[in-house]
Parts: sequence; structure tokens; C-alpha cells
Amino acid sequence: MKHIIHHLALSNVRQNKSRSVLMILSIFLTTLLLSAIAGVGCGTVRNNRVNAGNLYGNYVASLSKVTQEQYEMLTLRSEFTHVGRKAYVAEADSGKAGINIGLSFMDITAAENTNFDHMLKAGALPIAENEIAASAEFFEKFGLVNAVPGDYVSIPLRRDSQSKFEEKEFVVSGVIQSLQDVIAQKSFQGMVSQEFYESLYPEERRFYEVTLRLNDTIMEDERDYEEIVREAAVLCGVEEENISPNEQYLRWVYEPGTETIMGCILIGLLVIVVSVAVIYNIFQVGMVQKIQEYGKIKALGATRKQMRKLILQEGMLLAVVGVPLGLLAGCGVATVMCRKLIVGSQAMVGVELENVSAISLPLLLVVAIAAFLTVRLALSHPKRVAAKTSPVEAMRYQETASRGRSVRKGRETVSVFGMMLSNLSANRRRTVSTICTMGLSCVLFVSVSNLAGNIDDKFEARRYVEYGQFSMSLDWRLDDKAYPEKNLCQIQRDNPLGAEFQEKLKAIPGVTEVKTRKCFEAENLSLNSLDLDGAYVNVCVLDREGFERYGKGSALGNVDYDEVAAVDGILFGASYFMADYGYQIGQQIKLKDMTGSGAVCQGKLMGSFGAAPGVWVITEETFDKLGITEDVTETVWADCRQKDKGSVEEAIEDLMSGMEYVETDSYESAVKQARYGTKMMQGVVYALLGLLGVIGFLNMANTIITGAVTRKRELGVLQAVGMTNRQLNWMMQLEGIFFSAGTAVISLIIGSPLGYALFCYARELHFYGLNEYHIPLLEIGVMILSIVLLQATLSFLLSRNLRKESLVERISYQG
Amino acid sequence: MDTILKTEHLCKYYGSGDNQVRAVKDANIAIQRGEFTAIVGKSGSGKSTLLHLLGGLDFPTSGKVWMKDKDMFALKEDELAVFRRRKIGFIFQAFNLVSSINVWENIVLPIGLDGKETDENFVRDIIKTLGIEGKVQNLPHTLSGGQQQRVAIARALASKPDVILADEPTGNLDSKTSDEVVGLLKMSAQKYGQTLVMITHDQDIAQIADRILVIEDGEVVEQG
Repeated sequence: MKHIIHHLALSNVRQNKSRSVLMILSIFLTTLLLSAIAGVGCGTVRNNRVNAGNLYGNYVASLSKVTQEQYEMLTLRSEFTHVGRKAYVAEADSGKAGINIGLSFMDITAAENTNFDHMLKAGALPIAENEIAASAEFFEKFGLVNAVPGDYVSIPLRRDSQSKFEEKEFVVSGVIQSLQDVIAQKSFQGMVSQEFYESLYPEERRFYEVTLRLNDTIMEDERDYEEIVREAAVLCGVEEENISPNEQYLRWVYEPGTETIMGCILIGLLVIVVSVAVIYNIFQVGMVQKIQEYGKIKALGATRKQMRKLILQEGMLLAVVGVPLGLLAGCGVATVMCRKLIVGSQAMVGVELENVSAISLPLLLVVAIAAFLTVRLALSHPKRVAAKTSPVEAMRYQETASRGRSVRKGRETVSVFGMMLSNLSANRRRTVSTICTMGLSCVLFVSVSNLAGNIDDKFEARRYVEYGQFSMSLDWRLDDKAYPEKNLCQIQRDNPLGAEFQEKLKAIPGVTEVKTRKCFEAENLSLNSLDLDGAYVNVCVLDREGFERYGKGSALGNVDYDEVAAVDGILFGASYFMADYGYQIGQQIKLKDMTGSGAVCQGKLMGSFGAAPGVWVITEETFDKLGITEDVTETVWADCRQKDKGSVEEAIEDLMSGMEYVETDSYESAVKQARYGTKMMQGVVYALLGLLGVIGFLNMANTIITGAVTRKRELGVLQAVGMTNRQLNWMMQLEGIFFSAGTAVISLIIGSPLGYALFCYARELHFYGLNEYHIPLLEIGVMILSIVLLQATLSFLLSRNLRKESLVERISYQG
Repeated sequence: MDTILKTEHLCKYYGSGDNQVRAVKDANIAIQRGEFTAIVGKSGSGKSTLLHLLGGLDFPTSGKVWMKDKDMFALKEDELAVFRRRKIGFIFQAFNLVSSINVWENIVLPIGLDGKETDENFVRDIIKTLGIEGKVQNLPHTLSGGQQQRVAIARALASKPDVILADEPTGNLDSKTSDEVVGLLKMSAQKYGQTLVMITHDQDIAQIADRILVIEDGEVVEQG
């Protein structure tokens, strides 16, 4: 009997070719998704673990503001090894606005701890007093192009803002690799020797940032590493708040990457839920066809157990084909994605990373078991149905879901549309379950596209260039004693972005609008001891539009322009820090203008923006009342027509040539940077959802195909009594359209509110690029169009395929 | 009486060479308007094939079928479908009702497919004649075999076709119901002035026809 059951299952699988192919495809895609997710997860965990040191540095903690004496004590502690130190040495001046250049000292141990030694492209780290190592871009800022070790470079530098820049000649000891994001941020670091550092700072003024590792014997114990570091460092006199554990490194080396694994499991479960629904439905829809046959087998003596076994074997035979293929394809996808991840991380950290494999045999085994269990789970209901059905009932069974209903009100006349509706309503359960299963994939798609489709590159870019096409802003400092001319208040006394500049800007052919924002330097007379910004701050003047823009997100208190203006209120610029800096809503704030008027801006602290472009913010109305006569324009934006962008950019460059303390940026370059990030994110998300959508569609395809096959005779009769090919084709199309429309309606009704809620939640969390909500029409349009196209093609092929058999053959079809 | 349905050297062969089956061989028959013709023959004699050819459901290997002065197989596929629903009514052995629609809808189906208005009085009269008034809203699976075949007869009559072709209409029925159904079929064809061609293997049933054609190994001959 065992052999016969297997034989029967095999012949059933062969007989229902289209259903078998669709089920294999569903199982294949499910396994592919599961193994790809598992592979990428595994690759990420392995990459982070194997390359934890390369990615996040080989140290367990960094300690800042460490004195020479504390450093020496730390080196003596038995808990620690590889105690390295780094120190800020000086600020360098490239003569160009908007570029930050610093010089640091780092000993070889610190270089090893932070992988800096791996970043050396040529030469060595500086040892002699006049040696320096930096990137080619760093040296270019000082006129040394294509630097090689041994070259000389002269760098103007100063120890702090109290000192003047002085030229110092260095010999290039090494050239280090350039990092893309550092170049984009216009921030550069050069490394100098310990000797040079010590020549500038007496011992009592030397402060280090120390990185260290834990002794191997300690690492073998399962203890709280952070606590060990904290205890030992505090004993050496290091302030507790200056101890920062290297959390990423610790997490990846000593924990299994729980978050990644949980994320993968969650996505995997989602895939399984969709797949179970689809495979169940595909099988269930086909069951109706087979129920008579199952009845005969039961009548011949098959037990319930054997019936369950028969159904299970049918499913398992298909899984045996689909699962290995899915595993293979999934491994391929995971390997490619993992490689991309490593290459991407490599570009970010500038250190060569060890290649890791995304494939893990035990994990593949787990995926295979999960895939088989998915099929088993999907078959549990059909198994019960086949086992329960009594032989007599099953043999009498006729394919019509209107069993139980004996009458139908019907219509006076019959049309093709009416025929389609009657068929779908007669098979109500099948129709609803198909629409719901397909709808489930589409609900996911619509929900997530509310997030991914609302990522706004332009909004992201507008964080950098708020208005128009070009921004020009002052490059200022606050309270620079050595170079007071670089202070904001000093620059604004003869403001390069003043009225004259603005007039010239407006006169550039093509410029359509010029917008400005004021910001002035002030002394904080209500300075709090916790306020790390110090006494000198910048006060930004925002107009109504600015209030609206910055008022979104995590604002605190009252940020309504009119209400703030009415009481000349003052707002804090960064809500996250307000409490830390010791300010409270309602307290009086006094800010004294440093530009020249000496006016004191006094008002109630009404609230705080999430992240405004100034430490303090006031309204235009309040500013006007202060009577500041200097032009305190800080930023100027110019807009122009698209076609004039090139010429306007050139004209702005001309206008600004030789201008000091002004930096420029263009909207276009900001958009370009944002777009790259968005595309990467959307690509991954839509690929996953697209595959889930295909699995869902297979289910609809199965329902349509099964519907056509089971009704082959009925459709033949319809044609015999006069239904034309065109009418038949139209009827099939209408059925498909009904499924598509039902799916679209479900996905929109459930997916849209769900997606909107997801969007609001993600925006609250400042998810990348989320700003204004708009219905993701393009994504939804593409989804609906894809469903309609796939369905139309399927219905067309099916009705053509049906017609391949002669009418007589179809009428005589016995199911 | 004028000839309504005529075949000329009608042949239908399946396969080729030694395996060729000659289902219908050079059939030349003429059916007169209003006539009730029975085609009898043993199983496999080719009678169903002949009926399918007469109804334009199958295509001949050679020869022609004329409905009045229309060469049926000169029509394109979709034109033939329209021709069928207007000129021919079919009754099948397995009833072949559409399971998802009720009795009334099954009856008016060919009219609906033609996009025409239903002559409600006419259809109600047929329903009454066939004795299925109480079942119009029933779904087919709730009816007995005899009732289902009456619905099939009503469907064949409803579009007022020129010819009704019945393929073993009693094949699935017991003898008592068979007699009833054939009686009703003959009576309604007479009442509504329609030509009836019925296939049967039952000589007794054939006896009530005006004329009997015998088919044997694909060859059609008139019974004496």
C-alpha cells in the first residue's frame, strides 16, 4: 500500500501539470527568498564578526581627556593591553572657506587599534618632529600635488583659537588612503609625530584620547567587559563620562548579532506566512477537482491516514523539486549581495576586509526544513479535508461551490459579464481566498511603498541647500581671539553677502529669486553652566516659512510663528540637547548682539526646534525690534530656471572669486548624493516585495487556470450554444480583471492606512528622506499595471489554449 | 415541405494511413422543415460525429452542410458561433447545463449571448409546456436528470432556432423518464414548429420519429 500511495501521488502530480508547475514555482520562490534572507543575514553577521576589528577598530573602549600620568597608569594595568594614544595637535589653514583641516598625533598602537596603519598607501607614520602623513587630497590643499614620501610641504597651523597661524615645513613620511565621505564632508586630517606634539604642548597641557584592548585572559571569561574597563579606568583617574566603550566592536565580537538575526527571522516569517497562504490556496483550489478521485480511493479501502499521506506526498514530491532549486538560487543571490556589502563597507572604512561566505550549510538545512514545513503547513487543511470526506459524498461531489445553495435569484437576461459574476459568486470561497492571498502580498507592497516611495531625495537635499539652486553662506567662527576677523560679528560688519552682493546676484541673467537668512553672533547673558556652546552663540532669524520647515518633527513647546512673534519669544535650536544644556521652557533668555548695536534680545524660552540652523532662534518681528543696523545676512540662496543653471553657476563663481569667508553649495550636487542612497534602499525593498508579489500572483494564476480547466466542458457547452471566441476571451479577461480589481481594492483599503501609519511612525523617528506624505501613486500604479498585464496575458493564453482543443473534445471532457 | 438541412458528400475521417477511422462516409442527407428525424446506430457507428457536423460543432474532412442556403463551413469561427446560437438548438446526453446559473438563466443563455431581448412570454410558455415552472430559480444540481434534460430542451427551444439537434437526450435517463422526455421533445417541436434531429441507439424511441436514418460504419441509409 505504501508503494501504491507513492505511485498515486506521483501520478496526481503528473496529471495536474499546471498546478504542479505553479506549486513548484511557489516553493522555489519561497525557498529562494528564505535562503537569500538567511544568506544575507549570515553574511552580515560573519562580515561584522570577522571584520569587526577592521570595521569598528580593534579596541574595546576609548577614553578621552586622558593626562600623561593617567596614560602611564593605564599602560601598567594588567586588564589592558595595546594602550594607544591619540591627540589633537593643531588647526591648519588652507585659505579656503568651508574646509576643516586638523593635525593629530597618533602612536603606532593607536594606529593599530584604529586600523590607521592599514590605510597607509605609501611610506610610514611620522616619527621625526617634521614628519607628516596624510591623504593626497590633504596635501593638495597646501599646493602639493601627487605627494610621495620625501616631499616637502608647508602648512600654516595654530594650536588653538588664541594663537596665530604660523607656517611650518614638513616632510611627507607617508600617504594615506582617501575616504569618500571625508572628501565629501570637506574635512581632512593629517598625522604628525609625537615629538612635534610634545614640542607644542607642555606636559600639563597634554590630553590624549586613549584606545585600549582587554587582556586575553579576561576576554575568555564571560563578564561585563564595559564594567571592567570602567572600573580600571576610573582607578587610573579617568572621568567616567570620558569612557566610551566601542559598542559596535563589542557587540559583534562577543554577541551573535542578535538584531540582524531577529530582523532576518521576522522577514523570513513574513515570507512564510505569504507562502503558506499561497501554497494552501493553490492546493485547495485543485482539491475540488480531485475530490471525486479521493472518494474512489477511499471507497477502495484507503484509511484516513493513508489519505493524509497521499496529499502530503503530493506536496512533498513538488517540494523535492522546488526546494533544492530555491536553495541554489538563494545561495547565488546571497553571495552576490554579501559581496556587494563587503565592497561597500570596504569603501567606507578604507581598510581591506576579509571576504566571508554567505553560505552556511547548517543554515541551508534550516531553510530547507523551513521550506518543507511551509509546504506541510499549507497542506494541513487539504489533508484533513481529504481524510474526512466520506467516499459516497466525494464520488457524488460535483464541482460547484454553490453546494448548499439550491436556488439563485438570477437575472432576467444573461450577458457575458453576468456569466462571469455568476461563476465567481458560485465559487465564492475560492474567489475570496484568492483575492485575499494575492491581496496580502499587495497589502505588504502598498504599505512598504508608503515608506520607500515617500523617500524624498529633494527633501533630503534641502537639508543642505534649503531654497533655490545655489546657496552661499558665511564661513564663520565665534569668539576667535587670534583671528577676530573670522568671527561672525566681524565678517558681518562688512558683510560679503550684503545688499551689494545680493543686488549683483539678482542682476545675473537667469536668476529668478534671491532669498536670504539672517544670523548674528550674540553673547549669552543667561549662560548655563551645563551649556557646552559657551558664552558666544549664533542667533538665527527665521521667517514664517523657516518656522514651518524646522517646526516639523521633534520640536518641543510652542513653535508657532505668530505666537512666538507676539511675545518676542526665543527658541532653542536643538531639542535633543535643551535639557542637557540646562534650559527649561518658560525661563527668560538674554542674548546680547555682538555685531555692533549691543542690543539685548530678551524673551521667554518658548520651546525648541528639532534641529534649527542656529543655537538660538528668534522671529523676524523680534529681530526688527532689536534695531540692529548691520547687515546680518548669513546665507543667500539663488534660484534660476533649469535651463540657465549652467550659466548662473558660472556667473556666481565669477562673482565670488576672491571672496573670503563664503562657501557655496549647489542643490544639484546635494540631490545627487541623496539619490544614490535612496536607490540602494528602494532596490532591495522592492526586489523583496516584487518576489512576494510574484508568489501571490502564482496563486491567482492557479485559480484562473484551475477555474478554466475544471470548467472546460462548461465553457465548451457555452461555445456550442453560441458563445463566440471573442466573448469567451472577454469572459476570461473579465474574471482576471475582477481578481485584479479585488486585489487592488484590498491592498489599497488595508495597505494605504497601514502604510500611512508606518510613514508617520518612521517620520517621527526621522527615517531617511521622509517629509511630506503623498500616496505612492507611481508604485501603486506599477503594481496594478503589473497585475493587470500578467493577468491579461494569462487569461489570453489560457483562452487561446482552451481553443486548441476542438469544441467536441471539450464538450466530451470528463474532468 | 422545403429542405432546411442538407449535407453533400459529407466525410469525417480521423487519423491517417492504416489507423484512419472513417467516422462519416460520403453522407448525403436532407432534412425537411418541421420533420422529426431520428438517426439510429450502434455505439461507434459515427452518429454523434454526424450530429456534431450537422450542428457546426466539428469540421468535416470534406463535403458540405447547408442550412437553408447557407454553407455552414464557409463561415468564420466566430460567425459560425453566432449562426449556431441563432439557428440551432442543442440537447446533449449529459444535459450540459451551466452549474453556476439558475434554470431561467440557463434557458435564456443563447439569447443573452446574442445580445437580444428575451421574449419572456414565449420562454414562460416553454417552461410551462415542459412542466418546470416551479424550478426556474433552482440551480441545476438540485434537479433530477429528467428535470435537467427538460431545462436543456427549453434552452434549445428558447432562441427559436430552425433546427434542434439532440444527441442521445435519453442516454442518462431511466426508461420511464426517457419516454416522458422524448414525448415532451416531440410535442414541443411540433408546438413551436421546429425541426428536430435526434440521435439515439434505442430503436423503440426512434419509432416515434417521422423518419429514421440508420448509420452504420459511417454510412447513412434511409430505413425502409
